[in-house]
Amino acid sequence: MNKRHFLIAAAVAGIAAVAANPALAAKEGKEKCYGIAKAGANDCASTTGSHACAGQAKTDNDPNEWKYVAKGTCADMGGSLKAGGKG
Amino acid sequence: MPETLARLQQRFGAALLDAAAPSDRLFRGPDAHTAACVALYRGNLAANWAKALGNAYPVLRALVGEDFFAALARRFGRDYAHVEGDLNTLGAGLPDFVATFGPLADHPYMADVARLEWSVHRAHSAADAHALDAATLAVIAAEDLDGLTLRLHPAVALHESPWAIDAIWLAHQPAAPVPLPAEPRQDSRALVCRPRWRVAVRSLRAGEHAALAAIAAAHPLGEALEAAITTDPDFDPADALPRWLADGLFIAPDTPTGEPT
Repeated sequence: MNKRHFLIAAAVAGIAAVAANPALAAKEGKEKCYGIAKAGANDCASTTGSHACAGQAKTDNDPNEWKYVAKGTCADMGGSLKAGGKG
Repeated sequence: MPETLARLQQRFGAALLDAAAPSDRLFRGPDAHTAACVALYRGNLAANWAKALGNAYPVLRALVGEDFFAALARRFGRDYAHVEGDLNTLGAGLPDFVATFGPLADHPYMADVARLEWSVHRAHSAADAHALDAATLAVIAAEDLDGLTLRLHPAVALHESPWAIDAIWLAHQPAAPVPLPAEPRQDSRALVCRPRWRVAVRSLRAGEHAALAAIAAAHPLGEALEAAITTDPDFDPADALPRWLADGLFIAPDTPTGEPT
């Protein structure tokens, strides 16, 4: 129980330090929130005003499997790995 | 006898998922023209899946590259039994799909990165709730804090992985605070939160994760702090609690969550 007393005392100290600093709390509360909205997935229009759907007029006739080769940033982490460790 | 509407719709659905399915008489005109039109439908459908999934999984998309991601989205979209009318919820099953996806077997960290991304995506639209602040906690007597049960904010999620998913995610952000890890095999714990409506991901030490996991499991604060220091002797509540409060991790006692949990 001594450990718990110590932990709670430390928690109280931490809370008190923040609660006693109204300037900090006020600043955080009034901070402007620009750019918080995330674009939804359901609308076609892009933020630049162009219509994203219009660019999607690609036909899909390929009954064959696409050959999967990951070519993104994963290559910067040492390439391919095997489960259980670096391959 | 003309084809029934139901049968026509079934054939149209089948032709959207499979280029080899017969598309004759789905539209007026010659069969070759109809086949070309259905191929356009098919292409747009796959593009919509890729766009919606890319909106939820930008880091996964960057990791595998555009072409791979588009092909992954196409495969997922075809195999998945679509039930939702909201593309923002398409993709809840993608992490599990990625985990068993053969072409990604050599990149076993992808599924856990995707799990973290889904929490980030959900955090954007999670219900609102007033966050517990220091002033509210400060008036609670020390002896009552020990038994206080806190509830996590609806936007909060905890993750634990044998891979460095926190560093991988953070390294892909616009103002990347950390470089891509040279070695992804590294135990990590991550926290998703939404302080002042902005979604954030924080790396957590083992002790902090243990405390928050205990709070998530409805254990009282005293027990949670003890779990933390048992896991990590350097854990300091005086350092952790102010950060948790600033990140709005808990719901103020008298506010409803706004959605069933």
